[in-house]
Amino acid sequence: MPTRREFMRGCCAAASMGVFASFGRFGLLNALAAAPADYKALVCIFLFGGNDGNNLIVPITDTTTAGFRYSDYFAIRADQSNGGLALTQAQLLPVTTKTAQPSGAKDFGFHPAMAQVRSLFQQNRVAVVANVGALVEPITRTEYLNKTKQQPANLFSHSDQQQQWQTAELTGFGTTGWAGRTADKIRTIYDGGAQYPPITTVAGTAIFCTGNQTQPFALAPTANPATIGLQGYSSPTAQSTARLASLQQMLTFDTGISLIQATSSITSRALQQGSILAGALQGITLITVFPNTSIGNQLAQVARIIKANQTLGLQRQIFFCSMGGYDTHTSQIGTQNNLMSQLDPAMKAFYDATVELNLADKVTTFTLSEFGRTFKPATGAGSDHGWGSHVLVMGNAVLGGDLYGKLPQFALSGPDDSSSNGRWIPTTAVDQFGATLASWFGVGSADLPAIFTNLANFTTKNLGFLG
Amino acid sequence: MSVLPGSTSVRAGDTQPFTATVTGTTTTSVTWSVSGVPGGNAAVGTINASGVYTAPDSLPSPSNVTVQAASVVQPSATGASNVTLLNPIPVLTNVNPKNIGVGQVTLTATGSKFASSATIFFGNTALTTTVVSSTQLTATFSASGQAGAVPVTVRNPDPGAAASSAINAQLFATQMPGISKEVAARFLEQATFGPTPDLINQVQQVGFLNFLQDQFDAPLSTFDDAQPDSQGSFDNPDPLQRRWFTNALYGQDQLRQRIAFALHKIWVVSWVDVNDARAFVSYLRMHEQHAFGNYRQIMEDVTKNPAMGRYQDIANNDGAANRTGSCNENYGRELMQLFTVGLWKLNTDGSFQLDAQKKPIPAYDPVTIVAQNACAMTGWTYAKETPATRDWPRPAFYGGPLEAVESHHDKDGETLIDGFVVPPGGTAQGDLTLTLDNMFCHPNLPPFVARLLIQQLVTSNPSPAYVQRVASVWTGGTCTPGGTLPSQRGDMKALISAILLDSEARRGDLLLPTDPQLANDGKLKEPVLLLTNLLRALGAQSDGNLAGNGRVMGQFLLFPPTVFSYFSPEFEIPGSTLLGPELNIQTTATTFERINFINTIAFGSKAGTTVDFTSYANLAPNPNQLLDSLNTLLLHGSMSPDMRTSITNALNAVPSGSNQALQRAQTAIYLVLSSTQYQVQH
Repeated sequence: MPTRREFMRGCCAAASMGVFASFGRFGLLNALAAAPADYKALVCIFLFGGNDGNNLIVPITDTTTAGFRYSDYFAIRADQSNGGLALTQAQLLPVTTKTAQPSGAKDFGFHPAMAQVRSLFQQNRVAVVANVGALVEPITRTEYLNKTKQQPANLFSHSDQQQQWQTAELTGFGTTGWAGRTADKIRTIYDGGAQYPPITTVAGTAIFCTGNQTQPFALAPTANPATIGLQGYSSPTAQSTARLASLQQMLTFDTGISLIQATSSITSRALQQGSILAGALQGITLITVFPNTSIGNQLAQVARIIKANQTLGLQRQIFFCSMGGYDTHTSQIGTQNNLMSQLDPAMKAFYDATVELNLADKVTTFTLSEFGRTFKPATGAGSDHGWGSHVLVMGNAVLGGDLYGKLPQFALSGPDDSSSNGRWIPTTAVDQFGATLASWFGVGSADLPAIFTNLANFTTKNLGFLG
Repeated sequence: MSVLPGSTSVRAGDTQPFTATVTGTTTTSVTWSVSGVPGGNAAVGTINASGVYTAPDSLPSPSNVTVQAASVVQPSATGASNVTLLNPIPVLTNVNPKNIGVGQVTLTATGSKFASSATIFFGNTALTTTVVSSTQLTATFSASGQAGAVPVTVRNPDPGAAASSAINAQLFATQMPGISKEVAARFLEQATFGPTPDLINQVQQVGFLNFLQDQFDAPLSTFDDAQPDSQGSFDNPDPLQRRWFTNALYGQDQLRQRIAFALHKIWVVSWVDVNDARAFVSYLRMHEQHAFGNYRQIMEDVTKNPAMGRYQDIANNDGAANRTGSCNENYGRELMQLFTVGLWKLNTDGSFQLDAQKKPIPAYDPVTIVAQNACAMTGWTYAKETPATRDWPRPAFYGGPLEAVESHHDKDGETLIDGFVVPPGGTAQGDLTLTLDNMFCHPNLPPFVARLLIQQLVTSNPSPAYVQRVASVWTGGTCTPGGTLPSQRGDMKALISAILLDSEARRGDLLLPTDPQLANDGKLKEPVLLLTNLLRALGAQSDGNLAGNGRVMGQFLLFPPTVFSYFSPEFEIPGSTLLGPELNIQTTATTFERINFINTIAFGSKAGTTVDFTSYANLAPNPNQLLDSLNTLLLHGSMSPDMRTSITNALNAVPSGSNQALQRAQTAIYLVLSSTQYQVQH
């Protein structure tokens, strides 16, 4: 545990870096900005609440092994007594994967609201990774029930599994996120001189973005250069200049109270980095039109900041976006359809923007969500908290058009069920998924175990979905 | 025909029998009317067939009426009585506060039969009185006089002027030892939506205990029944958000409002999913009513509240026999995890119990116990809006608590936390009682709730000893699910008093701000508290249209993003092991919004909210006097010499001229409010 003194030292380092030497809104453009030789960005879309991956992609035929067929899906998911959750074969948007599942399945259907993502899948720009989840080590149903292998703490709890997907810390209390630790590692290689951080969140605080050295910059999805920063200083006078100097000076005072120091630290960073970002975003526009939804606006903001990467002097950037509302305990069909109807066009617009920026092969977008949902419907036409679930990866670096990992067998109390309701035991770990992304991003294999502490427990270190 | 009594006087709301004597006919029956209205009406009073007249509750104008009888067989034969209506004799049942210091204070009188121009008397002094209703009066006045008991009465005016019996208030005329302005201000940061100069003055004289007692006793601020918009819809949150802020800014029941807000942030319902003002009125009223009640009652009533019923799917959770294994787990899980027990086994001081490997121990199995917990609470649904409403499942209706439908309750029996068994065959209510009792009696509950409420009021990082002291007011006695529950367990007043009066809450009153003991004390003011604190301190007049300001700061009132609330009580400050729940929503983006709001208040204008800086401008010729005043009110005296110098430098840069004093006042207020010393309650 760091002592308070260590904490204070950490938090006040920013103040000693000359933050307050210059405070003009556009006065701190990064002098080290240079055209990056190569650029890469990771863009996370966290689906808060626990997205029901069971209905994201579904086997669409009955030609494969029993337990993996559409009819097996339908037999359990239709369950009219609880209000069915089954999508019909006619609703599903068919795709054929490049490689077959162990069951032999190659024919699947995307959720009907995911038409544009499905289209990108057909163009090999999107891949699905099946049944990913919080795992300390590989575990079978018997091992889980008999508690003979390590298990993630507090399974099925929103807060804990959100934390675990973001920290890759599955049994203890993680204090940093895997993106933050990735940035810690990367910035020493690529972005040592940059004063704007390598991680930006357009969806508020997330531990995902926090590293040991890295703190994200947060901004509102709709913020623009004119609105990032303090009001009242656009026409400086001696009076306003003295006022701002006092405001900034007070942030440097050590009052002896930790929470004041922590708050000062955030405001100091905001002033310093905000002026850099506001300057970099001057005149940045996109041709691509984004849907005017929360996720659309977030991804549009991300695209603008990516476009400004040279001014920011960053060769590696990580972004955090999110959507809420996926905790579909009741009326799931309508709710999930509504959510996917926002996600799908926003992802497509963002993909188009990366094409516009000529960075489609440099930007990889992926979804995370704390857990999947019970395969068996729950009363009220919904589903309860599950475990493993399917995620999406998008970009030209993705070896798309394929389904990675292994879909669970649709059998309640079957080999893939941790309970009797279809809470799928993950067959791919968050660590493996994250490590695959981090490897592509530039983290060397020797550095991966420090970021993904459970990776050593898995044979496959790279899932192969990125070229 | 004659009517007796021939003339009389009757007090509003009272009854008076009249008799009609009919002569010259054998048929003596009559019909009665009041001022020409057969049978009378609400305005002039009513009279029944037997001649019993009931005077109206409020006086008509003019306040005389005529009671008339007419022969049934010969309607032209009439008799009349002239009745003078008098104001009622007011009934006073409570005054609040009962402990009053010399200086500005708002007194509330509660009772009945208050006339439309009733007056509160403080001793022999008539107060300028606002008649809220016939049962409530308020008066804001400057109390003065000798210390001691002062009779408070309510007098109704002529006609029939009359006074209530008296209730004594206690007038304090000197400062309590040890309670400086700064100490009072600091206490009020914890116990209210922010100190005001008047409230600081009151607390200085009446002291903490009397203040708390009066706050426990204060009449509730109200939420009116929801009204539909022009489309007949109830989905506009704006009126309710404004009312909430108005109550928080100006309600006399400050502590109750603050606790109700804390309960909202623990027992979360969000407008994100429950977008209906009718639901939220019922939900917000419930938190107000239970703020000083018992936690067990909160558990019961929130569980049956239709807003929570919809938000966490308690309503229509079907446990019918053919549906085993399908109980909706949403509420069953979050009720344990977030509202009562928490995920880990706790020691009595709130720290984790550890196993042999020094790892924390889960409090319950997250699959089996959650599922059983959920099934034990099935069979509840909304009240019926009309008798024709189908029995199950019922559409959402917020006009009453949830009701049990036994045929949809799981009667299989369940095994709950720590092996407690709900036997088979129970009723929905019986099983709910056992299930809630079992959580209520769980040893985690006192430290779990104690820590959450300490964090809401005083500090993000209470010491284990502080948690233990507070939790201990809820322990002792044997707590038996379905049986006897110790009366002190769950007592909110006891818990709140223990939190606010604890030595750890109060040590900042005594120690220098730089004392190392205070290093980890305090909490960041969340956006809503930042807004209310600064507007109350500055005496702002606001229409309560503030939710949008909180929203851009990261806290949109009534819209917590999920059942995990606006921010997590477990949020750790990055780079430290300290908790900072409110820092969960403090980012490089929201920090600008907070300061920019202060800029608007200090230098700009916000429609619907005005602040008068005159009194501060009057101090501004002497910057030290100005800063002294702000230091007491806003920083409870904790302004460091560095800070004073820094702000003074900025004040000295304000050019001379006719606006210098005002601009200095604005500059000083802007800088103090923007400072992290102010933004963090400590």
